[in-house]
Amino acid sequence: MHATQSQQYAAKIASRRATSEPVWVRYGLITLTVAFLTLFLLVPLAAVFTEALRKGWSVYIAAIFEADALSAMWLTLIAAAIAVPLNLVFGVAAAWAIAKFDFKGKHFLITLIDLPFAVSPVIAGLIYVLMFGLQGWFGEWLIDHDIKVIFAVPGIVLATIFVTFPFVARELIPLMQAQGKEEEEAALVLGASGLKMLWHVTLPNVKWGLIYGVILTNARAMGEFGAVSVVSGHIRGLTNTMPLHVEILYNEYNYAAAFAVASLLTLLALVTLVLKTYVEWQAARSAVRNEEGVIAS
Amino acid sequence: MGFNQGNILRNKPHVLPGFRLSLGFTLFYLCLIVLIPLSAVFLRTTELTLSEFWAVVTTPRLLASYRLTFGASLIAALINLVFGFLTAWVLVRYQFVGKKILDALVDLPFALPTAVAGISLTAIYASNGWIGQWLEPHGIKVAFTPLGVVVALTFIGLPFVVRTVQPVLEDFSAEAEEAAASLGANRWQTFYKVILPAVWPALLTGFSLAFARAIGEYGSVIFIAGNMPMVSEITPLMIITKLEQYDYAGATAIAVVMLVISFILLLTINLLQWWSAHRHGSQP
Amino acid sequence: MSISIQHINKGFGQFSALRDINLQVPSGELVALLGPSGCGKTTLLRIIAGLESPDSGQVLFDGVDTTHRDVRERQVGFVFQHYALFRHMTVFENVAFGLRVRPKATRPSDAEIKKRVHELLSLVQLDWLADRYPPQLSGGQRQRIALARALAVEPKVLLLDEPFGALDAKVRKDLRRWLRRLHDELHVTSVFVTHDQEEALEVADTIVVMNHGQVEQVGTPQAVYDQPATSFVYEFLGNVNAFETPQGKGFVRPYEIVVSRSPSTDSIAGQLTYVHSVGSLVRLEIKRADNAQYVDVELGREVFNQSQFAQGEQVFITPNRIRVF
Repeated sequence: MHATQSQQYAAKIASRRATSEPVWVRYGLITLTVAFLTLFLLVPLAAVFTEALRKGWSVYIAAIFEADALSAMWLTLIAAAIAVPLNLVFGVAAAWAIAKFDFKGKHFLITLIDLPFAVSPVIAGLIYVLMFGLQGWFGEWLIDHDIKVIFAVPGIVLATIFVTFPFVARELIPLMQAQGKEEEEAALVLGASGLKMLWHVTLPNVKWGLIYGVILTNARAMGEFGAVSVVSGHIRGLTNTMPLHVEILYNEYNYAAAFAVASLLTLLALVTLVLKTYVEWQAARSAVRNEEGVIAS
Repeated sequence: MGFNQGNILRNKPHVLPGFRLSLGFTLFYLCLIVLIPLSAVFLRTTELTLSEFWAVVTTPRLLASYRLTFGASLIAALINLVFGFLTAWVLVRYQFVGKKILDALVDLPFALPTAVAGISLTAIYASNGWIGQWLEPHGIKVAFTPLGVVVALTFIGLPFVVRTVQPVLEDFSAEAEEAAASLGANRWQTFYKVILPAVWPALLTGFSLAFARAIGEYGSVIFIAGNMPMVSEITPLMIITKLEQYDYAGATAIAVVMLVISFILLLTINLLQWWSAHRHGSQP
Repeated sequence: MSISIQHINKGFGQFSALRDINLQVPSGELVALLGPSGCGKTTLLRIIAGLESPDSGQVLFDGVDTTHRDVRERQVGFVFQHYALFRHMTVFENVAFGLRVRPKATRPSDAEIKKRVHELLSLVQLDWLADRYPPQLSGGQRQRIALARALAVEPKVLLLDEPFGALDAKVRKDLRRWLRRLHDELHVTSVFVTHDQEEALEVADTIVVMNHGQVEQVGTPQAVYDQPATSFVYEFLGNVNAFETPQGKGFVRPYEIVVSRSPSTDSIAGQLTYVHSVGSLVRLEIKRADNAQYVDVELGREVFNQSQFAQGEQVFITPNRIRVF
């Protein structure tokens, strides 16, 4: 075992030597890449925090604990708390149907699930205005029953669900396809009920993909701007999510406060990246474990 | 023979449970959230006659916005094509300090709310910003110009090419490169005759994804664009403007134009993927 | 072209892959590097090709030191274990690659390239596949295309890494004979790596048996099989039984044992536990009475038919040739 491993490692190193670029090309390319990524990723990241703290910590703290900011955070959390579980359930159901069964029009269904990715966020907001707005299909009915969807929380939640629609399903479908259905069939043969099989066999097998999908869904749900902007009506303290609150503060030339709230969203993005990296690492590890299991058997 | 044809759901018994339930729920949710609302856009346009529709979607101000949206998106996607490939190459092939962190940060544009990206880029490229103050004396204005739109769209499209090309480069066999070398090819020949054709489909896919995403982008652009009519207004902003004027029909008409273009792009991406998978026969 | 390898050492970190390798490959020979996986044979092949450089020592082609010459300038043909065909190119373009990448001054014209490629494809009997892509070919076809591609650059040395490793048993056998005939036709100095002793014995002019980064023995197939220089070579080439002798551990091939129903002076008692009687040879499995170890014996069918040993019977075995190292 030791010998083969060293041999593989050796082959890797050696192949790189026989087929690698001259040192000056290598360092030139690395420098160019690092410069590009610094310009487009690190500088904007640093700018958020610098601008947020430009007027000192007291202004920063005040901007975050201001009442409208707090209500924006609350609304953002609510929207995510509704959108994420709904899309999670949808993702599992869609992946189950698509990955474990054969039926006509499967590829077309996958394309339809991907559709929200191809739609501009602004249009995502617009479609709900056309459905539930004053001039919308259900507009009059909603007024008669005194239900507000557009310029209210339900519209924001709907728009959030739309823009995060495919994330979980997209992660799960290829994973569950790759798993095959032998294990589920084995569970059934051993007498497990459908739900037990789902809970004890299917979901543990796709655990990391599931978590990955949820992380992406959550990040997008909390950060969505365009779609939510169309349906929210920008009512301070009532229908403003955090990104919309940032916009309002910014347009009022209250830059320090705008960047202060933005810095919270940035921290959320960084946490998302850390979690994402961790999950990818775990998924790779469990993949390696499975592979070794196959070889050993 | 006859009994084998007909309803696939009825004649092919499924061993695993939950097919009807899961597919039923999938279709129901898909229709409710996506298909019915999206169809509203197309049905609402039928309220306009064809000539009205054409008049709405071809005003000079809108035509200028198409030019900006598609032009800037194309340039941004091309920048990402080049630098995305370079980034993927460097991250896969070379070792250097801080590589893992940069690799993780590549996804920042996916994770960072677009509004935050928008105000941050604006602050950097404004005339008193970190980078703007160095560019302005040379007559280069970025913030509040079409150039700013390109910068924002480059930012939000950055991960696409990197993340589609990276796995292909990782899987690329060292043997193929060694084979090229042993047959006498120099490094450059090996690159453009052996490596580049192999990653070309992935490059195209990443490019299309970045382009499609840029066309629909709103949040990161409106802050840095300046939104001057005829100069730096993007098409999604025109939809918002129409909505604010309660011109639902106008907003819908523009949305239809954008949707049709997006669908064509989506179709192209799928065709490209299909083509690259089938061109060289069955995969082993 | 002859190859001379002198005092080659190569290590990867802590692991010493090759230790003081010396080897002469005369011009026009077909040589097999034979050994278990991890013995360094592939590393040695890659050093000859210039895909890897040794820590110390020299590689000489026709007496000229080529140790530091780039792989591109060595004019070696290398056939990779998994063929490494360019999957986005047709079979024709794969074979033409080595000619097309030549500098303008020495590059043949398109017509010449076409002629040359078709010659090579005829040589490997696959001319009809010129417009296919590699994923559309069978394993054996890919192997032969990889060989044609390597030959296109008119190599002075042909190097093959486990050339039959990825093929199934039937194809492997056909290709082995085919490669032997091809070599007899072309007479290009060839070195191939294998872990399959049968393959090496059948195809090669000379076998180099390697173990743990060192050469155990060099010789013709008959020589290494009949006069193994070390216990490793003996054990690696064919089945073997171990016996304790006063001089140390002795080795006996299964067909060098006599089985009888009556004891003699040097015989060992045992019980016949299994008879495997298919084909021209009958294999017996005998459990020794003294130390309960199993001994494999091979008898010709006529010999077996004369005595008709039955499973469970008490028998006596006598080795008629023991080798002690």
